[in-house]
Amino acid sequence: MWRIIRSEWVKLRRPAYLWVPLLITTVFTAGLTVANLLNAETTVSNDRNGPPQHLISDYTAAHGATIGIKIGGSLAMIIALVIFAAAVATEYQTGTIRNLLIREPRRVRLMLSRWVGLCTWAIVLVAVTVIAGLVAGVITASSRGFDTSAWFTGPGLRHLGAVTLYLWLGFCLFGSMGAILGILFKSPVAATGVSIAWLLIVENILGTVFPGVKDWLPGNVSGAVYSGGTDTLAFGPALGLITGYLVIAGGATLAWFSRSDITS
Amino acid sequence: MPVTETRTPNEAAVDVTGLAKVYGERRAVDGLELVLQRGSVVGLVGPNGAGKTTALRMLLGLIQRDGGSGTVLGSNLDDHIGYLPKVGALIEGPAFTPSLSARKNLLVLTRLVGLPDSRADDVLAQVELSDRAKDKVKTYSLGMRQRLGIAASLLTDPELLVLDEPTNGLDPAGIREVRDLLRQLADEGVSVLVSSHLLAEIEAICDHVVLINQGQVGYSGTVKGMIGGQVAQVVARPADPDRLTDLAAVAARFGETTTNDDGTVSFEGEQDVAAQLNQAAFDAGVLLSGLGILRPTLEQAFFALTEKSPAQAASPQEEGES
Repeated sequence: MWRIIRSEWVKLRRPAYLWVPLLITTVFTAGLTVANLLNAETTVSNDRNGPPQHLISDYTAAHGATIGIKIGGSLAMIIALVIFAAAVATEYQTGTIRNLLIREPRRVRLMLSRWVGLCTWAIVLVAVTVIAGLVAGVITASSRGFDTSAWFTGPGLRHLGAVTLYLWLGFCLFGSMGAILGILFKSPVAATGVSIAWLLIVENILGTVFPGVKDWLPGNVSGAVYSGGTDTLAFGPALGLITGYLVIAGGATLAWFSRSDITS
Repeated sequence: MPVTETRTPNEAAVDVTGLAKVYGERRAVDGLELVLQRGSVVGLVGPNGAGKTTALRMLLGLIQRDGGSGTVLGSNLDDHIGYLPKVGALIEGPAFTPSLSARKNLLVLTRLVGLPDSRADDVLAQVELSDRAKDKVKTYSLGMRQRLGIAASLLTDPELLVLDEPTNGLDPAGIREVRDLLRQLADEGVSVLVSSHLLAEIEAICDHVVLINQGQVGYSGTVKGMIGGQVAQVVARPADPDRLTDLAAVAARFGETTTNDDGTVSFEGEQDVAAQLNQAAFDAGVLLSGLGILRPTLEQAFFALTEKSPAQAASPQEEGES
C-alpha cells in the first residue's frame, strides 16, 4: 500500500492538484474569516437581507477560532470532491490506468491504496484551511481589539482539534463520492458535474419535497459529519450512516471495477 | 487450429490456446492459439479490427476473456499477479500524464512497483531521452513519447515484452534503434511479442509471425515460411513492345498468363520455368529484353492470406513450415 501511496503523491504534487487548490482554499478561508470578523457586532442586526452575522461574543469564545475555518471548509469540501474525482477519472482519459493495472493487477488493492493516498492529500488541505482561518482570525481579531486568548486554552484547542478532524472526515467523504463517480463515469467533468448537481440541486429538492428523508441523503449526512453533528442528526449516527453508504457504494463500485474491461 | 512449433509449455514464454473474446454477437478473438518461445521475437500482424490488441489486452489482464487457457512465463493465464510483474508492456500507444515530466511519469511506475528512482534514469538513458527527462511529456513529439513508452516497458527488467506498434511515429533512425534494441533484448533472453502494421518491420525484427484474421490465427510460423507459402511470378518483357501478344501466346504454354500495363507478361513459376520460357520465346522469334522472378513480399503474403478466410489461409503455413 505504501508503494502505491508514494506513487500517487508523484501525481498529486502537480500544481493543479496541490498549489492551486491550496491557494484557492487559503484565499477563500482567510477572506471569509476576515469578512465575518469585520462584520461581527455586539448584537444581532435586524437586517434579514444582510449576510449571516456572528456576535463578537462568538469570536471571543473558545470555539471562535473555528467559525471562519468551518465556512472556508465548505468550499474546500467541493475542492476535495473535484480533486478525488479528477485523480481517479483522468487516468482513464490519459490511458495511464493501463500502466497502473499492468504493474499492479490487484485492482481493489490499487484503488483502495490510491484512495488512502488521496485522504493523505486531504490532510494537507485541512491543515491549510485551519492555518489560513486561524492566522486570518488572529490578525483581524487583533485589529478589532477582540480578545482571542480563549482560542488557545485547553477547551479552545480541543474544539479546534475536533473541527479539524470533522473537516478531514468531511473532505474524505465528499472526495470519496467524487472518486466513486470518477470510476463509474471515467470522466472528471461528468463525475464532478453529477456530484455537484446531486449535492446542490437534487438533495435540496428532495429535502424540500420530502423533509423526512433529508437526514438520510448522503450529502446532508456528510455535511452533518463535517459540522460535528446538526440539530437533527448527531455526529455519531451521521458517521455510521455515511460509512455504511460508502461501504455499500464503494464495495459495489470496486467489485465492478475489479471485473471491468479496461479499453481506454 | 494450426500450430507449427513443437509445444513445450515449460519452455514457452506464452502458450495459450482457445483464447476468446465476444462482444455481443461479434467474436473479436475466436479460439486463438499463441506460442512464444523464450528469447524469441514474435510478430503479431493482421488487418485493423482483426483482434490483435484485444488478444494482447487479455494476456495483460486488462480485459476479461470469454474462453481460453494456458500459461504466461510459467504461470497460469488467470494468475496475473504471478506473471505480470515479469512483463513489460506498451499497449495502444504510450500513455502518460502530459503535465508531468518524463522522469516523474516513470517515477509513478518505479514507486508503484518498489524500484529505486535511479531505475527511471537508467531506462531514460537506454532510449536516449536523458537530456529531455525533466521536460513535460506534453512537449514531446510522438516519436519521443513512443521511446518513453518503451522505456516504461523496460523498467522492471521484464522477461516478456509486449509491444503494440512500438515504431509508430518514429523516424527511420528511431525505427532502427528500436529494431536493434529488440534484437539485443532477445539475445539477452527476453521474449518479445510485437504487434505492428509495418510488415517490413516485422520482417526485419521477428523470428516468427502470427497472422490474426477475423479473430483467428491465419498463419503461425516463420516469416520465411509465410512468404514461401506464396508462389513466385515469372516476368518477361519483349525487346520489341509490338511482340507482347506473341510473347503472351508463348507464355500461355506454361500457365495462366497476365499481360501487364507496363509491357510485361507474367505467370506463376520459378527459375526453371523462366529458363524454359526464354528458350521458347527465342524459338518463336521473340527476343526478350527482360526476364526475372518476382518473389512475393511479406506484404503480398499478408494480403493473400487476409483475403482468404482464416481456415483457408491456414494451408500455406503447413507448406511454409515443411
